[in-house]
Amino acid sequence: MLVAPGSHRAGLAPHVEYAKPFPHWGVKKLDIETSVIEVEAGDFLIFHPLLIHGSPLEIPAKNIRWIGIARYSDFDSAAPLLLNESKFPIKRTDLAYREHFDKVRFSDV
Amino acid sequence: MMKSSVADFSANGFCVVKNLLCSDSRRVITNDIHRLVRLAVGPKASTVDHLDDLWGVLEDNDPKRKSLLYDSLGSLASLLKLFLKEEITSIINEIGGENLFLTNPQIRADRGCSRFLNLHQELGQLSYLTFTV
Repeated sequence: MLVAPGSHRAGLAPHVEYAKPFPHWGVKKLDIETSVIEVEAGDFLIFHPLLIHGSPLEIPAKNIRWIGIARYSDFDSAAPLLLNESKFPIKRTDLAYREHFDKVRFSDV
Repeated sequence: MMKSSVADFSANGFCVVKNLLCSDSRRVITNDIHRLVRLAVGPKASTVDHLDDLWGVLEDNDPKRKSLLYDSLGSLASLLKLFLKEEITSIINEIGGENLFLTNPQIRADRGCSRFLNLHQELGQLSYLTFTV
């Protein structure tokens, strides 16, 4: 897994939709300095929602990689907008994150 | 371990806790997955043993069933028990406070280019502050 250490402190990064190798969202600016995190079976990786991360293409991938993932959400920061408007999760989340992290009111966005 | 994990998280936005899950605990979850996949594959499972191969049989022969199973794996009792272990919740609570609740546990089975994801942030979760493990 690739991560940009400390990127969580810079707040929300603009995202765009990429078409290849399948449609998915990623940060607009991809030329970011990253490090590889290597974990072994039994290790736990915990990361912040704003940490920029991804998985590189160059993985020798003969076998399946089985991993367990869980999310621990802060009850006081629940985002009801996201539950009802899942058709546009990134756009809505973008606004929601601005609201939450940058203290910008929705009316100002 | 706790202090260094929290300090790493604060500085870098992530931390790695080494060897939190022993091989016996891993085996319990793997066995549960194996048993479910074998059930889903049905009679063809008698000629295949390795979990990856069983999964491949399901991918090739019944992708709809594979998809249903994929969604169900996150509800395995052994997986939920794992993510509610004191060793992990104590670190999570130290990092994010006491108001955190466990959401959306899942098992992922990635191979080849399905592993690829461009750099991104973890958006679209139930809460603005959602920590991924």
